Formats: sequence, C-alpha cells, structure tokens
Amino acid sequence: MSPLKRIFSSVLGIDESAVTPELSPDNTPTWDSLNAIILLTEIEKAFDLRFSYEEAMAIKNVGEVQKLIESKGKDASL
Amino acid sequence: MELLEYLKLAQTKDSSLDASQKPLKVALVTNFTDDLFKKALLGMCIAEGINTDIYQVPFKQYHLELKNPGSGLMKQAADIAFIFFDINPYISSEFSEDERHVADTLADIRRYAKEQSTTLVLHTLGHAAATQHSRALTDAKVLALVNEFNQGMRALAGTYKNIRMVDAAGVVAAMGERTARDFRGMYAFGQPWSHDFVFALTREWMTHIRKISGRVHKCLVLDLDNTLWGGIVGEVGPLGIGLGTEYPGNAYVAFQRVLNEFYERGILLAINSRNNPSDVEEVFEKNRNMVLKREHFAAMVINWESKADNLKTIARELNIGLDSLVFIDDDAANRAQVRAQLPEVLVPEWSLPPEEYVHALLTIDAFHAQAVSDEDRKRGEMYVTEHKRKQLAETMSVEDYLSTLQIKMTIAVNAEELIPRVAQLTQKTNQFNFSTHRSSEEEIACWIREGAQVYTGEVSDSFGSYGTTILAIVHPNEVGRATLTTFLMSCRVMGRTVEDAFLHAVVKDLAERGVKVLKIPFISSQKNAPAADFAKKLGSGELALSAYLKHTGAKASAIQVTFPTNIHEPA
Repeated sequence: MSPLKRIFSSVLGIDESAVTPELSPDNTPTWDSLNAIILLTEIEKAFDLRFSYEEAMAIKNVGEVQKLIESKGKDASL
Repeated sequence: MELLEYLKLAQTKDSSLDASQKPLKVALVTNFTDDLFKKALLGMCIAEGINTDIYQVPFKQYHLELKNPGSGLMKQAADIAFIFFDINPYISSEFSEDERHVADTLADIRRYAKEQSTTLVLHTLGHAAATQHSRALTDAKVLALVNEFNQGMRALAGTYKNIRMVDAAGVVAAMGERTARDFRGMYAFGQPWSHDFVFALTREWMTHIRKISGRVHKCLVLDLDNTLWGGIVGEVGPLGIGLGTEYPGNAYVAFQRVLNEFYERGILLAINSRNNPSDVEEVFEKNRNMVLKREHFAAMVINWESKADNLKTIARELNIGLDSLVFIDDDAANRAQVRAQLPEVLVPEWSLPPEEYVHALLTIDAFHAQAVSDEDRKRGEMYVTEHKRKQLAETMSVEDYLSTLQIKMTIAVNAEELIPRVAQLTQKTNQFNFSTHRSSEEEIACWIREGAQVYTGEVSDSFGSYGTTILAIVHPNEVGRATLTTFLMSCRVMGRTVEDAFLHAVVKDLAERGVKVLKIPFISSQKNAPAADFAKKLGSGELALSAYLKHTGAKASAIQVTFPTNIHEPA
C-alpha cells in the first residue's frame, strides 16, 4: 500500500479505496483540525520532509498533498 | 504495532467492545492539547480488549477542574488519571508566569489524591538543562520551577499510596529533547510533543492501565542456552558456557543481574529449556559466575517437550494465567511457535546479540508500572521531611481562586482592525458557539456598514493575556428589538465566568441604545454542548433586557470590564 493511502486511511478511519485525490475535509467528517495536524506530521515523517506552516495550512485535499510532496522531489502516488 | 495502527483502531472501532465489561474510567489532565495522547491510548486499549471511557480536561482548564468539586473531572471519579504538565523554557505558561502556581497545583493534586480513590499517575518533567542551548539559561527561573515541581510530586508519591510516577523526563532523555519535542506543534497548535514521544509515553501509560485492570505480567519465563548464558551447555559443559568477566560472558552476567533485580521487586522467574536436567543442575552447582541460583526460580521445566506446552505447565504450577507470562528465548522458531499457539503470552523479539539483552529487558512494556511505583515510594520517603518543611498551601475554592486570577476584559465595538480575528473566531470556534455560523471578513465588514454591532472582548488575567477570545454580533431588527446572530467564546477562556460578564456588558450597551428585547437563537451542533448549557441558563430564545440586567447586576461584577474604547459609527 502507498504510504499516503496508509496514512489517510488509518488517521481518518476510512477504507483505503476511499483515499483519492478528491478526498478533502469537506467530504470527510473525520478530517477535522486535530486529525489534520496528525496527518501533516505523519506524512512528513513518512516522506522525510518538512512543510512550512503556510504550505500545510493551504492544503485543501489529497491531490494538493500529492502536488506538494512531488514539488519536493518525492513520489506521492496513491 | 505502530502508532498509525493504533490511531486507526481508535478511529474505526468502538471502545465498548464488550458491553458486559464495565469501562475503565480514565482522565487526562494536561496543560496542552492532548488529543493525540487520547487517540493513541484509546487504540492501545482497544487492541488489548480493554473497554475505556476517557475524559479530557478541556484545554487550559486543568487548574479550574482540579479545584472545582463540581467539575467534569471531579464528577467523573476516574479509576486512573494521567496528570502531565509541561513546564518548558520555550513558551510562557501559568507555571512560568506565577511562582505560586507550582505550589498551588501540587496542593490541588494532593487534594485529588486525598479525596478520591483514583490512581493518579504523575510525570516528572524534563530538566530544561537537558537542552544544549540551555547553557544560557542555567539561572533561569524555569529550571528552579521544574526542580521544585519534580520534588513536590515525589513527596506526594511518597505520601499517598494512590499516586504513581512516570519518568517522563527519562523518556525525553532517552530519545533526546530535539526528537521528543515538536516546536511547530508547540507554537502553532498547542501540542508540544512529537509523535515519537506520544507513542513512547502512552506505552508507559498502558503498563499502568494493565496493572489497574488486573492484567499484570507476573512472571518472566527464560530459555537457558544463549539466553541466560552464552553457548550450549550440553556441548561445552557447565564451566564452558559464556558467563564471566569477558565478552560475551559479561553481557550475560549483566543480564542476570537485572533479572535478579526484577526478582527482588517481586517478579517471578521461571525456566523453560530444552536440555538435560542434569546438565543444568551442574551449572547451578559448579559455575560460580551464575548470578541467579536455583532458589530464584519459582518453576523450572527442563525437558525436550514443546516450549508452548511447557509454558502451560508453568502457568498451572504457579497458578497464574498465561496472560501474565513473558517468554524470553533467543530461538526465533520457538518464539513463533509460542506466539501462534499461546497468543496470550507476551513474547518480545529476541534475535539480538547479548550486549543488547539488558536494554531489551528494560524496555519490555511489562514490568515498569510495578517497578516505578515501588521505587518511588522508597524514594518518596526521603522527600517527606522536605515536604513537611514546606507544607504545601491548602487549596482554595474555585470562586476564591477565580478572584485571585484578577480577570480583566476589554470590550471593543466594531473595531475594524479586529475584523480578521473576528472572522477567524467564527471559523475556528466549535464548543462555545451558539450558531456555529462561519463568516468571512467581507461579510463582517458589510454588516458593520449596515448597522450591526460587533462586540469583541479581550481577556487577560494574572498569567497574561488570552487575546480577543469572546465575540457577539448583534443585528438590529424593528425598533426596540435585535438578534444575537453570533455568540461565541474561545475554549482558551472557558470556565472563568467570562461569558457572564461579557453578555452582561453587551446587554447593558444594547439597552442604552434602546434595545428592549434580544433574540438569542441557539442552533445545536455535534460539538457545541458547552454553549447549550449556557443557553439553557438564559431560558427561552428571547431576552427581556431590563429584567436580565436586574437579575444579573450583582453577579457579573467579579470581572473588571473596560467598555467601549473605539466605537466606529457607520458612515
């Protein structure tokens, strides 16, 4: 399983198949502000990256997380 | 299992796995955002089939909840409470702003220990000098506070049998402060700890949870060849085994010494070995480097049967459950067999070189709850004199305490410079929020132009300012009537009766502007129970202002309110 699928499905308590680029706080009740911070930290750990606060706060959905990771030269495929 | 797996359990499974099992009541009392601790702990309890009911003290309200006999914490009467305050040199807190706060908090904990049978688990704090750059801070007040707090807690642990200690400072030291702390989390989200630290500490907590749930590990069952000594006794003889002053024998001796300490703390030792019993007898008789003697072992099963069967024999012989056994064996096949056949038995990984044995033994999540509490009781006795000398201050009632806080509030009306903060408050506030109406800066600016009143309160107390934390937006209706479309308060200032004083001031101002009736709609959401309680106190959705003012006039006066400073009349 891709690290992103693993992280999103575990932290949000959803099925791996539900982890798509369109997944967002608007369509996922468990993606609240507290889980957003957990997601952020787990993603940084898994990809050995650090996002700036502004980058992290601008994230609106999984697709944007993928773009952000890829902009730092890592593979973020689902 | 990793942290993520526990988080998944916490998110997906109901903790009440077994309805017949009375839930273990757990309380978390911290001075930071502790949701990740809660989720990790919940996941771990679910993984072990422990049904829990976890109460978190609301953010920034630990001192109020500890003092108030009617608080959620005190009413919960938890079975076990984890009390963990972070005093650190990076960010100011109640502890660093007020030297009385340490003594005051210790007194609160003492009363909690005295009045409730809850097992209180206290945490030592990391010495700030453990950070490299803290050399510049050697005289800083925060170092003295940390020492004072640690000593005070140990004194309490020595006095009250329901107090346990967790060496959180030791956990920080073991991983290094830079790894244990998350600075972005601390400054941006009120969460000062890294995931690694949360994981390590909640594992410590689990040992206490297991103990209080009666799931203690009582017995360490040991293999012999290449576990208790180096080599195979059947091949090299009782004097040829690796045990002595040179490597690797010295590592096995060290391992036996620690096992001996476990024995002295009351943990049973047993042998489960495939060997000729006579060879083992010879080792006990002839090898003087054996730290452990025959009498250290409560049970010895030495034969050529399967290790799993032997474990069952040992459990039966000692009259304890299989789930109270920990089995240590260097042979991977034996471990796999036991794990498969007896999942109740804890089988730590042990494909290790002997120099790793002591460390591996000390980090098994099984025995430290026992070890720590007894150790600390002993150590605590040393501090009792110190404790008597100091005579910690008696605690106050919550009302008296609130009055010592000297809470002040400055209210502004339609302050343009605060519009971004007002919008943010409507976006972020969930708990004390009457309508949970999210508004943009543009909307708010527009309402002000159209004649709405936006009241904002900045709250401060003797610990410092909490910023703009309470908000009311009032829209005028027909003559003499208005609607409170937004009424919210940040959780930072909850529990301080700020809302009473604020609403009183707002109503007074509205009354002076000719409003007679204020409509107060309440829209319940999943999270706004705290606001619902307050709404209930106000009665129906319509407030007759003169009656309200008459009724609340005396009560709202404990907080010093400064009112309007900068009224912007609509253009």
